[in-house]
This record gives sequence, structure tokens and C-alpha cells, in this order.
Amino acid sequence: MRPAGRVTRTTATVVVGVAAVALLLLPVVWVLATSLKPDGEIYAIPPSLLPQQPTLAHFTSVLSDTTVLSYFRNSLVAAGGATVLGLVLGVPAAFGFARFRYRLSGPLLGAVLVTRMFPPVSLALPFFLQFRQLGLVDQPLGLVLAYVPIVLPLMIWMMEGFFRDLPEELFEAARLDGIGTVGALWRIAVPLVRPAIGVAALFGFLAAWNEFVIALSLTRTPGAMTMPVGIAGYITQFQTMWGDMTAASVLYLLPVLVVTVISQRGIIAGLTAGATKG
Amino acid sequence: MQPAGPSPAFPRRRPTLGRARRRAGVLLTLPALLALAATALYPLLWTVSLSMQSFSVAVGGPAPSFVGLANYAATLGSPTFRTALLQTVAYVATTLVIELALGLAIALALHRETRGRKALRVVVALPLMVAPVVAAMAWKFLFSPGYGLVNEGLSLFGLHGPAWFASPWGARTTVLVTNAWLALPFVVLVLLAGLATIPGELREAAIVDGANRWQVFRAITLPLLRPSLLIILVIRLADAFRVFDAVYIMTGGGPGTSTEVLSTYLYRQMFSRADFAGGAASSVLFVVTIAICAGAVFMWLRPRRDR
Repeated sequence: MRPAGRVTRTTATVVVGVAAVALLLLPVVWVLATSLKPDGEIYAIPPSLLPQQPTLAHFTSVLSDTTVLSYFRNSLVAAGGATVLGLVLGVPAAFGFARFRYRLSGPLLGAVLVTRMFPPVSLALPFFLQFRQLGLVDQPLGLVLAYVPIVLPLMIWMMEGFFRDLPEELFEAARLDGIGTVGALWRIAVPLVRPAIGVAALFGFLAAWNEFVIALSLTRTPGAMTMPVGIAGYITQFQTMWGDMTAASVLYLLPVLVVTVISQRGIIAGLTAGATKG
Repeated sequence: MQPAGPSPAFPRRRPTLGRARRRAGVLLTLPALLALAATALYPLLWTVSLSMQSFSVAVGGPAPSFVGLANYAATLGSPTFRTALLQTVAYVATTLVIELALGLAIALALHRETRGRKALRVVVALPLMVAPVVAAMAWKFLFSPGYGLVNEGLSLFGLHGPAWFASPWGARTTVLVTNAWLALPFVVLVLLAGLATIPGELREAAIVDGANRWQVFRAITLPLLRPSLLIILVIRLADAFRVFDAVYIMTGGGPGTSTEVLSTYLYRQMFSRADFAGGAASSVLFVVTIAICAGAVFMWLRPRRDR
């Protein structure tokens, strides 16, 4: 009705949109740019966004540092182990909660989801004192176990809705064919919700890969520390080694970003499934 | 795999279908439930029990003994704990308001049919994948005085940026910005999914009836977003309460105790001061605080059964 008003509004939307996109990208671009800058440019005043003379020096320095490779391996072991455990325990559980109701299954599913609300720092203390007696402190295997209450409820929550949405007729047909519960899960349900299982596995992995406070509490040496603990270690009392720190961060982010870009559609669907099905 | 059973037409002494299904349900869920009982329930009960004992880390020190609620009294009497509790609650409330306001604005903008909408969604989802530790580090660098980009950006507008980490409100702002950046993708994506379920005809009908944009938003969009808002509030509430990484990396709780939150207070109490029994008591109080707040939000926004 009022073209002038509409034009202003469109311009405003574009300006706000560009500003929002720039702000959303800024930290990631900044980390990447800093990792490619020589030290002199990192501390330049005034700072420049993009490197003037890009160098791979920080990457060679980080990649030749055996402790960084050890952090990376420990992160892979802890997050990978927790994800496998989450799948082995979580897929049958999500299937059972979704399709085989029993008297307590509703409250028990609620209890599983409530464990997501625990602050991780509250788990760090009992894990630390118990693991000390079991010899699991400062061990990647200890982290795998400590990540179960973080990864498993998340994965069950994400998968349960998808199992619930499968049509009941499929399973009635399966019952008539006499393939049993395990057969119904393995041969019918799992192939149908495989993308959702993949997204749940990715998010479980991500939760463990990014986890910081429990890893900080339960590891003491580079032989067991994970990437976030190692990266935080670049901030020392005297100075912060921004170049090496950002290069290590790029290596730490890269696998996750690659997988994400490949599977981004499934991720958005998986993440928002709980919200739309309520 | 199994040998062919009796023909379904002539079942022999089969348990009723319902009983078999219930047993299958128990068997399928039991391993995960046992794993969570061992790694979440047991540690929680153990923490409650530890919180009522005296505890010495010294080898050969006095044996643990029951002290009742003494650890709770000590924790509640500690000014630092009370500061951390107050600041955590204030942080959670502030961050939720900021995230919802910004998230709603971005979601409404992205919901419209605009060019490049798909690419924009990928950009919005990006921080979801970035580890909080890396985000905290990046923002710490960006907010640095001198070689940081934030103050440089402000100077373009003729503003003189403060030394962010030297003042309580400056340091709190950096923590808020970092966590809002980390949380926005989740808020926006859930709101977009919620907006997608609202039929366009509803809004069109309202506009035909003479409602303006604000009225449409208040009377149609907002009420229909209630389920999405509930999910966001409950999940983000629990996440916001556990804030640790950004505070630990960026401010260390300082200057003074001005950015101390419950997670950093607990970490220090347990792993710097080795006060395990006191840490257990603070831990229980922490969980109770979260439970009360999450319960209150849920009761406030839960789906009404008045259909």
C-alpha cells in the first residue's frame, strides 16, 4: 500500500541481515585468519581482519608437536567410544520406549531425559573420586564412561520420536511374519530411520567432542587430555600463544565442520524434530 | 535366524501379546537404564551422601563421619557461593531474554521468502558446531584491548571501547555475547520449525480482518509458538545454568568475583581447594536450583489441556 515504507523496510532487513551474518561468521573467520597470520600481524595495532602475508608456520608448529596429536587422538577415542556406546545402548532403548510401552516406561523415559539437565560439573566430583580408586583418572577410557550420561540421554531423546512415527502396520506385518522383536528392530525399524540415527550419532559425538569441564577435571597429562583441554592450556599465566592456539583450534573444528556441511539438511531436521512433534 | 515357530494360526501356550510386548520393552530399555543408573543416578546419590559427611583427602586422615547438614550451612554461609548463585540466576534470566528476543527477530526474518534463505540457514547453524572453548577463545581475542577487533570496530563509529575484561560489567558483557552467539542457532532453528507449522491462511485471514502486523504477531504467531518456546526455555535454561567454558577461558570468574558462576565456583571448590564434602553440598544445592527453575518454567508454559 505504501511503497516508500516497504522499500525502507526491505533495506532495513537487508542491513540487519548482513550485520547478523557478519557477526555470526566473525569468530570463525577470526580464528581461521589468525591461524594464518605471522606473529607480528597477530599483535598488530590496529588489527586487520585478513592476513596480509599468510603463513602455515603455526600449522607446521602444531602438527610437529606430539602433544597436540595426542590431544587429538584422545578426543577421537573419548568421543568415538562414547558415541558407539550411545548407539549400542541407545538404539534399542529408543525403540523400546517408542514402541513397546510398559507400566513404568513413560516415567523412566522422563527420568532419562531429566539426566540431560544435570550440570556436568556436578558429575565431575563423584567421577573423580570413584575413578581414583578404579585407576581410571587420567585415562581416555575413563572419559568414555564419564560421557555416557551426557551422550546417551541426548541420543535416546533424538531417536525416540523417529521410532514413534513409524506406522504400526509395518510392525504388525512383521509380527505375522514371525521375525521377532530383534528382527523388527534390525531389519525394519533401523533401515527406515537410519538418517535420524546418523544425526543422533553426530550430535552425541559433538557433545562429547566439545565437552570441557569433565575432561578438565578427569585428566592431568597430555597422554589423556582432549583437544579443548589442550587448547585452553595455550592460555598461560604469562602470555597466550594465539598463533598456535588458533591453528590447533582449526584442526579441532575442521572434522566437525566438514561432516556438518555434508549432512546439514539432516541435522536441521533431526534437531528440530522434538520441537515440532512436541 | 530362528527356526520357524508354530504357525500363527495355532498358537501354543503363547503368552498374551500384551505381556510379550511389555517384556520386550523392558529388555530393550534395560541396558541403557542400567548404564544411566550407574553413571548418573549412582553419582548423584553418592554426592548427596558425601554432602552429609566430613571428608579428608589426606591419606591416613580422619575417617569420614556423618555431620548432618553442616556442609550445607557452611556453603550457604559462604559469601562467594551466594555471589555465584545470585550471578548465575541473573545470568540465566538475562541470557534467556536476549536469546529469545534476538532469536525471534532472526527467525521471523528468515521465515519470509527471501533470496539466499537456504544459505542463511547454514550460516545461522554454524555456531552450533563450534566448540564453546574455541568460541570463548575467539571472543576473548576479539574483545582484547589494542589488538582485538571489537574496539577497532567501535572506533569506526567514533566510540572508544572500554578495557572489557577490567570492569565487572565489561567482563559480564563478553560472557553474555559469547554464550548468546553459541546458543542462537538452536533458538532460531527451533523457532523456524515452529513457525513452519503455523498455517499462512491464519495470518492472511487476520490481515483481511484489518489486523496490523503487531496484532497478528501477538494474537496468532506468539500463542502458536508456545510449544517451541517451551522446548527452548527448558533446554536453554538447563544449558545456561551450567555455563562454565566461556567464564573459565575468558574471565576466570573475575575481575574479583564479578563473573563467578556456580559451575566455576564448584570447580574451584573441588579441584583447587579439594573441599570435596563442601563441593558435594554446593553440587546438590546447584541441582536443586536448576530443578526448581526448570519446574517453574514448565508449569508456566506447559501445554494446556483445555481443548
